[in-house]
Amino acid sequence: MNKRLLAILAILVVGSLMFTACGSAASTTSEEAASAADEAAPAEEAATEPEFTCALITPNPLGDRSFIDSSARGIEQANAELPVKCDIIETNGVSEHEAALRGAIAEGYDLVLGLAIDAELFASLANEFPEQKFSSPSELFLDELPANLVSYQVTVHESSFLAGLVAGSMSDSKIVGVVNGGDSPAMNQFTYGFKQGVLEVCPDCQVLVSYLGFDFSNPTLGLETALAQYEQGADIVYQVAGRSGEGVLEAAAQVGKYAIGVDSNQDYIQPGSIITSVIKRVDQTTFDSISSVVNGTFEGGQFITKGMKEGFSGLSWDEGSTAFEENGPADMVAKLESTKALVEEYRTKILAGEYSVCDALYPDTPECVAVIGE
Amino acid sequence: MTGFFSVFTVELLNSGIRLATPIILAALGGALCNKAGVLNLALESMMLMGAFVGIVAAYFIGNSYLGLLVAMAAGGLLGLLFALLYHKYDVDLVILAIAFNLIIQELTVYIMRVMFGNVGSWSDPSISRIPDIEIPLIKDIPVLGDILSGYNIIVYFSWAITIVMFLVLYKMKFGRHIRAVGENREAAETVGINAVRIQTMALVISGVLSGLGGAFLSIGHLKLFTRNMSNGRGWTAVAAALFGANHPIGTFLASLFFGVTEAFAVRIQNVTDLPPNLVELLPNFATLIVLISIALREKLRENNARRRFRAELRAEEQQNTAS
Repeated sequence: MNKRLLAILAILVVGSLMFTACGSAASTTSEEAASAADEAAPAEEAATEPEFTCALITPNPLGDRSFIDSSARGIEQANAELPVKCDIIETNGVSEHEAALRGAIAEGYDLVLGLAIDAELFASLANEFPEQKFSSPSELFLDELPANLVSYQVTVHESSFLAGLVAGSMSDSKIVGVVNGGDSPAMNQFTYGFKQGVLEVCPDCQVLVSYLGFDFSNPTLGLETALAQYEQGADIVYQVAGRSGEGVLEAAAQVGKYAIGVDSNQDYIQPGSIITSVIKRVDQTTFDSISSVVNGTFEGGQFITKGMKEGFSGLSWDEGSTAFEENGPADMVAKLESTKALVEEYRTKILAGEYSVCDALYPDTPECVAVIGE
Repeated sequence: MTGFFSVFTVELLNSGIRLATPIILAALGGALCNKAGVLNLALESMMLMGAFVGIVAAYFIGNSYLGLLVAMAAGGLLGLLFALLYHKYDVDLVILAIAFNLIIQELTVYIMRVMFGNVGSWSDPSISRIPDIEIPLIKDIPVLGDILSGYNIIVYFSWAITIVMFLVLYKMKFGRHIRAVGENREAAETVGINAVRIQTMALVISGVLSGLGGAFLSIGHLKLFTRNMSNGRGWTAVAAALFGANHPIGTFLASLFFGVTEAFAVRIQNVTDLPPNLVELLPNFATLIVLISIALREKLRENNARRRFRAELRAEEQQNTAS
């Protein structure tokens, strides 16, 4: 009896380990089609012998159709265009970050990229392994970086401002909402920029803000939160909540109102319900990190800030997304032309430095005081 | 800012009922298992299984209602496997539950990736959500109609099954047998009740109900599956069954309490100046209060029993000294 019990337990434990391993195993592609090509790839690569190897550690599993997938696209692009062999190491959340990073370092990759890893952890590892090159494709909130760590900062307040202009000028009810993953300066870059944009074109508009307590993988909660905002009269809701945000997009389709997507182009997820998406080009910062190592221009210890000016953030319309134009209701589509003109007008002003948008990282600036004080 | 009391609307209850439905179903299953004396902490895995299998079946069959049935069957099978491992191989219930929860969480992601590519959440435009149904007559009652009508069939089913479970457990001979097994298995067996069969049935039913609760998440509420979609709701259900003293009606109300608290936390952010981080803690805080109150209630009951016992003892002593 006891033996059998042990055997069963062993099978269960090994089984669960196996699936865990599969869940976080290194993989380099994200499309089914590409995985077929994968099998042929190693042979070719062995022949060319890539000079550089790198690994991207994701904060959560792939497939958020947003932030993480965007970075993964940067890796794919690097694999395709540069003489590199890059892997993606998925983790199941913050508890696995350190182990994954240490694993990647031990593997001897030339460059280790950590996406949205805790800043203190990242810095202490960089100090522990001074020979290893590290890069963070998105924000690290530190005063000073170790000499072997580069941090890209993609500012999203300006593109969120443009999204706010869109929402403010297209809203009929004069109430718009933001469903935000968590109350932190980085997340509030989205919120405050958006709010400023709404109030700029529609001073008597009301902006509802709901936070999800850093629950980025709970679409059920996202759905109910958005429904609550729609009930309170909002007709356009901006989602900044990762996978929870998928619930927001679904809610828009369910009640026949509108949403604005985030990070990647999400317009196609609920065609006709998502007016536009705020783009954060983490794929570009990921690609740039890798190419800097390849070109020998990698220089640690610095923050590299990219924003709307450099084309690292913007709206899905900039990429030619027409999902809303084709599927949205006629009365809303009719407003698009004037809205787009307005967006371009402000974009020019912002880029020329004539107009400044609140950056939540610097809450003491006059434009932020005006927005937060609301 | 609108007034604080503006959140107390019919929609708050609507939202609370929707959020509570998966918890109600799983908690009823958990309560039934507790009544039958077999601890089921694997509700989470059964719910996740239902969420995954439900949407996959809905996709391949092309009918979401059939997807629900398949989800229930999958949950039931998981319950049966649980019972088999427990009764036939004497595996510890807690260890078994941990193994189930771990395996299903990774297995669903694994299968999703094998079937649908390297994705963390999956959906397909061809999948339709279970439609909401207005109940004739009831929907015309002012206010009450808005509260009671306009949900999908899973919500109504969760209400019906609560009543059915109450009637079976407390008004039928079969229910007495279930409770007898839970209270004293040996005694029940000596009077000829097949305890193994009753516990197996309880586990299967809890699997069926949890599976349906999971399917509510993936095709009843959203039409999407994401990894770990149950997101701890199975554990909330365990707490709800405890809080409701394993009584079907009590369990239903306890689950509803959790659902409404969550809906409340979502709504209150826009009408109060409290920091959002504090407001978001509300559901967790409510759970904590509930667990403490359960512990206190147990303690009170124990103290009362002890006091009664002492009083009896004293009375006996007095009698002895008197004689």
